[in-house]
Amino acid sequence: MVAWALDSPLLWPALLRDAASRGAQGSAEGELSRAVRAGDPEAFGRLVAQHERAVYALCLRWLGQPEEARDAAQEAFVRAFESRRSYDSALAFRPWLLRIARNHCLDLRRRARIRPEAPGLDAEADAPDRAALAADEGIERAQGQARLRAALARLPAEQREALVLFHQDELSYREIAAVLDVPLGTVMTWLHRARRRLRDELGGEP
Amino acid sequence: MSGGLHLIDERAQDLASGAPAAAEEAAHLEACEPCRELAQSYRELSRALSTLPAPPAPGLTPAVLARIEARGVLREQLALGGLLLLLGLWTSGLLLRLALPVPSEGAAFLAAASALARVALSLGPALPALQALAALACAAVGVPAVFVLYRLLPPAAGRSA
Repeated sequence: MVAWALDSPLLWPALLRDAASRGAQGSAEGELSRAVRAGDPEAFGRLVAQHERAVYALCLRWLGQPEEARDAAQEAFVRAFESRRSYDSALAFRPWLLRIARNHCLDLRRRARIRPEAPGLDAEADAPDRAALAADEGIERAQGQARLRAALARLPAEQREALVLFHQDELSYREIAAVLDVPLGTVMTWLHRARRRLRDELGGEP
Repeated sequence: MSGGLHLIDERAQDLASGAPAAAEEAAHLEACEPCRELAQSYRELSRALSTLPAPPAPGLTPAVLARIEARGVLREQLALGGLLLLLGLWTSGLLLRLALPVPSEGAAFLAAASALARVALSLGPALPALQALAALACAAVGVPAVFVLYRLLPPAAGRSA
């Protein structure tokens, strides 16, 4: 196949989502993060409530065990509070926070030699959610999601992480690059490879 | 698009993620079924990924705020311990300086005590447990021990005269 030249639209998710993040910073989260920077624990509590699901999910993916993930997420938040002066409030708060959480999880994995086979993907789907899904939206959809989870679990960890950060946490390419500490081009490569592999594995029926 | 140029896989993925299609891309997608199916399959994959249920919110806020408060208290205790350590070392040095007959040794001890105190205080948050232990041990044992030693030592020549 002959390809079209890949020009500026290729980077649109990065540009668009970065702009959206900056917009969010001008609003409530920007105010909150400035209050946190000034050392206001109550404001930080509100930020924890906003981001705990994403931080916990990331820790669960990296550590695999809900209890360890809970503890790691708490520690990541505490570390974020302690290093709040290094946070640039002109940038989005979530990528900065997720980077702290991810680094902490890597430290824990190095220390404890944790090697989850499929980090957190099975643990993420807790029983009540599965049951509710089956009841509300049909068994077929639940089965489709189970297949997708299984295919995700078979991806290399870094590709899976980039994919989840993009599609679930709605981070831009640049923000994912910052969280995972890799160049922008690497993020794009991981995302493209991961999507292609998922599509091939699921046979066009995600 | 009239025919020969098809979407590459990466471009199909970007279109599926919401990238705006150029006019000739849109025209090609209208005319070319394989490219349309490719873009559609990635669109469905994106939708499936973004609607995959996330884990429930774990309710961490109270625990996080409690940890932050506990760390603050610990930091205050460490600062107090460090202050006690410094005070203990300086007192020890001063008392030995008064007790010992040779001024230069006393001065050397004072300098050593100061250096030790500075090192102990500069251990920083990386070794909080060690710092706290050292501070408490020195404060609890060092000062009384120096007072006892001071009582036992013979009076210095200069002071006995």
